[in-house]
Amino acid sequence: MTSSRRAVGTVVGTSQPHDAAIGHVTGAITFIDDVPTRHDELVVGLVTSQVARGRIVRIDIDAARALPGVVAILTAHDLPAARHFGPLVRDEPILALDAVHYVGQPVVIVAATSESALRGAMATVHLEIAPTEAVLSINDAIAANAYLSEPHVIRRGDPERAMASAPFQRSGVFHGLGQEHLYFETQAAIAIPGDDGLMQLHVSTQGPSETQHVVADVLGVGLHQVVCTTRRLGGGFGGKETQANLPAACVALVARRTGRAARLVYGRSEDMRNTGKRHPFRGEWTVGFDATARILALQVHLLSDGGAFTDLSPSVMDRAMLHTDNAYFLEHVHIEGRVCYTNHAPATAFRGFGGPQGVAVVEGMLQEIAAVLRHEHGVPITAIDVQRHNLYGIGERDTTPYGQVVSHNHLPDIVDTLRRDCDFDVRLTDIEAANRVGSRWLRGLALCPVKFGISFVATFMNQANALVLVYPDGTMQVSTGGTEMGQGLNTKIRQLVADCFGVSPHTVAMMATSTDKNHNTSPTAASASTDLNGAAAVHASGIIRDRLARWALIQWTASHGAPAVAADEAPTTVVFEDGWVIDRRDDARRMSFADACAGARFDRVDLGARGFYATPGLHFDRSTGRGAPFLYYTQGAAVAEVYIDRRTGEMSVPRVDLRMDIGRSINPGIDRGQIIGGFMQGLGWVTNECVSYDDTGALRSDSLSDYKIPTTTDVPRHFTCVFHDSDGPSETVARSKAVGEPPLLHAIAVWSAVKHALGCVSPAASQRLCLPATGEEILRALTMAHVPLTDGARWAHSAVSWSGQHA
Amino acid sequence: MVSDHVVLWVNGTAHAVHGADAVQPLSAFLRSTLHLTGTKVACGTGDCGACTVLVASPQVHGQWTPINACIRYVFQLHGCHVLTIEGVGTATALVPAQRAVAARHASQCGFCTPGIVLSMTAVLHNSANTASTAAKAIDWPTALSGNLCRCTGYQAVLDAATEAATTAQAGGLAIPVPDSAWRDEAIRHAATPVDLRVCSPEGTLRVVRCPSLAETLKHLQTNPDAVIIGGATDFAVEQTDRPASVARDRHWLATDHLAELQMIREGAPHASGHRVLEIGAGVRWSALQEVCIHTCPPLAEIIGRVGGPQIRHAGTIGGNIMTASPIADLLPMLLVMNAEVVLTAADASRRVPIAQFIIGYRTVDRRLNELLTAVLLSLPHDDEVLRLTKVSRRHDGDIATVALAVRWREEQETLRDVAIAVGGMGPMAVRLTHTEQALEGQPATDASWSVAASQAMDVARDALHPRSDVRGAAAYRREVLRNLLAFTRADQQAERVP
Repeated sequence: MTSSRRAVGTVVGTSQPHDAAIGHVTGAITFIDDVPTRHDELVVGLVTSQVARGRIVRIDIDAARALPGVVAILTAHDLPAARHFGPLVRDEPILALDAVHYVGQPVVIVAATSESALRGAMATVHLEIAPTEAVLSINDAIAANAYLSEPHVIRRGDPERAMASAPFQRSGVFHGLGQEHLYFETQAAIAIPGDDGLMQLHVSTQGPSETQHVVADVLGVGLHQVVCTTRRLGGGFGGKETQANLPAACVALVARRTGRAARLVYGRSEDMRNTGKRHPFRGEWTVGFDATARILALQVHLLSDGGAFTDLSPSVMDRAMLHTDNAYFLEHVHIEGRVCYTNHAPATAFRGFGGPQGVAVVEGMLQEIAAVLRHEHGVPITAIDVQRHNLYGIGERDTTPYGQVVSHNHLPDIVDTLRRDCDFDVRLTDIEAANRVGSRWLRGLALCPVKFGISFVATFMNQANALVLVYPDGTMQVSTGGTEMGQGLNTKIRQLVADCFGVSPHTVAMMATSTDKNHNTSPTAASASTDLNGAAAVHASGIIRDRLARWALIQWTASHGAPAVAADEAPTTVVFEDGWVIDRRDDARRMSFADACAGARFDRVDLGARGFYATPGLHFDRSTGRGAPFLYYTQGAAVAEVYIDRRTGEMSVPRVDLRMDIGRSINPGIDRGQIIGGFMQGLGWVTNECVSYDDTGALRSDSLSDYKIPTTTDVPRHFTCVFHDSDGPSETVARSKAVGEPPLLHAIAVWSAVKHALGCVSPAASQRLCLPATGEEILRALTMAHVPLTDGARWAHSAVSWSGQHA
Repeated sequence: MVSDHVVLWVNGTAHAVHGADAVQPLSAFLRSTLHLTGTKVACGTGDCGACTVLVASPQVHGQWTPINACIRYVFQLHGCHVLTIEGVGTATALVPAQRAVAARHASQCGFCTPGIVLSMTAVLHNSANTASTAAKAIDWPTALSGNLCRCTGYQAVLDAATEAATTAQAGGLAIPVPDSAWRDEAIRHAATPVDLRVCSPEGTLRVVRCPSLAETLKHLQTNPDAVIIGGATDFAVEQTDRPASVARDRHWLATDHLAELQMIREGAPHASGHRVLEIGAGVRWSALQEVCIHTCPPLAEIIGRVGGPQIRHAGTIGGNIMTASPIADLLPMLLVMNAEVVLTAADASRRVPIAQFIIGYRTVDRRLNELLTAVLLSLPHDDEVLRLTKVSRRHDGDIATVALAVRWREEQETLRDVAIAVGGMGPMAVRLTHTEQALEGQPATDASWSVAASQAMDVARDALHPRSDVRGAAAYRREVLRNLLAFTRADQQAERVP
């Protein structure tokens, strides 16, 4: 484990501990359900549909209402204002009105004085639902012509003609399942009715502003009457970007109805059943290439399982399409995407936001191109050669299908360096030789480069604000629109602010995100929260520092009569260092930062400021599929080696080497944690995390007994993580780069390594592999290794059906 | 005198716990009743370790045992001392695990962190108290495999553990050790019978805990409707997230504290001449694993894959047998070793071969006044091979998809005494007698197994009826069994995965 370049600063660039680390290790910090119960507080539960799709015939709440301790029961008919919500299309009901669309869809809200009274009442509510035919897969949706979006296209050149004239053509289909977020703190919300119609919310949400909006709509009040406060989240990963809104709306409705505080905390199974997950994807591709493995034409048709309501699905599909190129130049390309309607919980944001699926489609394809050239045409080429040969160039072959230039392209350097450092070529030769011997272990090795676009594709969301309050003792409180969910955002912002004032980070307190301080914010998502909120905090700090500097100059020069510095001139001679305010021209002119703050306050200088940041230069025209939606790309590559037990399909990952360009790191310790944490979460997605449903559309994998995220013994024994030496983009705060999502995509190297291993057995074995590569999935591929795959579109993951046809 | 409450110590303070509070999971009691919210609940099924607390019982001196508080009832901890994160270190006086986790960025969102700190601390404390001062290599990935984390990817956690081990060795551990005054008091309380009654609209729940085996059996004699509770690592999971049940009276009988059920000793040899290990029904996985490291390494290894350390410290051997789950980890092994179970009633005792005891899906041949008190486990002879295989989605802390136990020996290049049992291939764990017979007397070659595997699967088409469920399709299970059988002998010598 080494790291090279770090951002420059006294505090910035150092591995400061997480700002809540002491609270974490002593258990002293509070999550939503750790907040002490108010004496009048009600406990809230949701009665949900047990039917995937159907018509509500009758909701019987009379018996439940009569039970002791039951204070309120609400159905859709009791909603005072908006009955639907949704970030793009308001099509998702708060409570099902006349029809249900997935198992776990909320139908009735129950509020009671105790947990046991609540449980009793919920068991007494009776839902009579007449089932109708459910849509339970992408194939079902195609058959039923059921979609949540229109087809969307990104296109360049003349892919049809280029395809026709390509020496080789190949088609294939990628099938990938969803992924459970498995944030450790389940969805949780508290509503407290306040004076003058105010509704105060405490919610584990990544988007306090959006939660505020949904609650105001549902209550039928102005935004000024709702405050949403978020101190921290026990993990989010995208699962609390939109999915936190429904529980928040439910407690707000109860609080409004009863005038009492109300709390809703999902149980784990409830959370898994009721909330949306990463999108399952199907990607059909046809590629034309030549004997050097250069891609001449590519057509990709993506379909996602969006679940029952729109949520963020079209945006997730956009990002999948914008990442189908991954790290490769595609001259003639047609990428088409469409979101399917199914009777699953609405699929939603999840770290990577469609990017992982887009990249997995193309990486699987590259493995197959290598296999085709080797096995069918005798061309001695390996997948890494195919990847290297198609990588974006520097100064040529560097424009994405949507027209953005891949500037500051480190990909060739990263791939070549990593390939050399991890001994890729020698190991590959050894592994392929060992596989030919045919021992119990089948091995695989693969590299996965990643280029991940940073910024919200929806340009308007690329804005943030921050509030910095400096006190007369020289300490300060900082809040931004960005929520702290473990990723270390607050720690990084604290470092940035501390350096602005030349003070210790211990004098900077990071405060809860609250919509009455930081309003109109974007959710903490898209990896860009330090870029956005950090820049806004630096902006606010700069305003205050300028005021302090001006004031200090006046103190030092007051006797001379003339103004120390013109009103429109920056007081650049004043520096803030080590707790001092100093005039660079005269070292005798100095005062402690705390004295400066006290003096300035006495002289009526405003020591508070709001900072604002809007990412410059972004544009994307969705209708034409062209533009420059990203400020820059975070880049990197990973190499993974796998061992497969041919008897059982069980797989282990003994070695992973990662190399990432994350610019100049603001906090190497935190960034390393993001990289390894993201990678391991991706490792779960591509290996053992298997979201599965029964024939009725009910989630089978609805507990941690039945859904297996990685544990300590799944960490590769040999695991290196190197920061690629780079200067970082000049446009970003402290020249740092976003790091939240990109490392998750690197785990696709593990899946590719399995594909490589299976490809050593037969092309069909490799083609059949769906995602995740569970032991079951791998063994099925091995068992059917010598049966050609004829209908890739009808193939399905083994968790759906062993024989591939959907039940 | 019968007590209507239990007494347990939390972070040095004694609590008399009555009624509904005493039948809660410990995590709920800590969080709701004592407002000790540092103990987090993330799964409620004993799978993630976020609710890890440390327990000292008067019987085991000087050890802090990590358990999952979400699936352990308060009444099971009568007389025990519980240490929560609030009892370990403070912001200004952190213990080594806390210091290292904070310094090494081993916490991100912080929700799993208290559990991780406590698991680390228990390992450091217990190894400091049992080993010599010489640095002892701790297998941290295994030791922490019961503590899931969704944020860090574990690397920083493992680094922190290594660092904490170094500082703990250098500076000692500042975690409290229950004193002898507590121990005396605890033993006195533990000697009192407990009879709790909780009335609710759903009916009365009665929980009884007798101090001795004799009293337990006597109680069972007059209360044959009592549900016998062992470590509750399966029982309590079933209660999690369960909607309110139909009104009825329930009666639970706690047994996992009974000292008489804790023994592991060499018994009289089996009629077949095998050495016999007599294992008390209340013996925890962790205790059996320690014994088996030398007496039966394949069993020790398979026990290492039962749950996480917290489950292995709570779950009992008797409980695993009594659930009679088709995927119970111990059963295939017991079946191939012709183990016998000992069932004891107030007035009688009988020994039943395990194959006759397991009679159906989660069903055993127990008379209502009987308690499973011990299992008599034959150990393989030196010339016998015992091969235990567990196939699961995740290697550690997962439930078997397919479990296979095979025993055989080779005499003059011939296969002898072949015994094969499988779990996960139908409603109950069973012996594959057809395959055993087909192999018996065959040449001791890899090919014999390969042929037998094919035959076995032909027979299995009618005889074995695996389910398709969240752990795998029926076809997958069949395929796995075929391959494992076919390569049983070949893989015995094969290299391990690096």
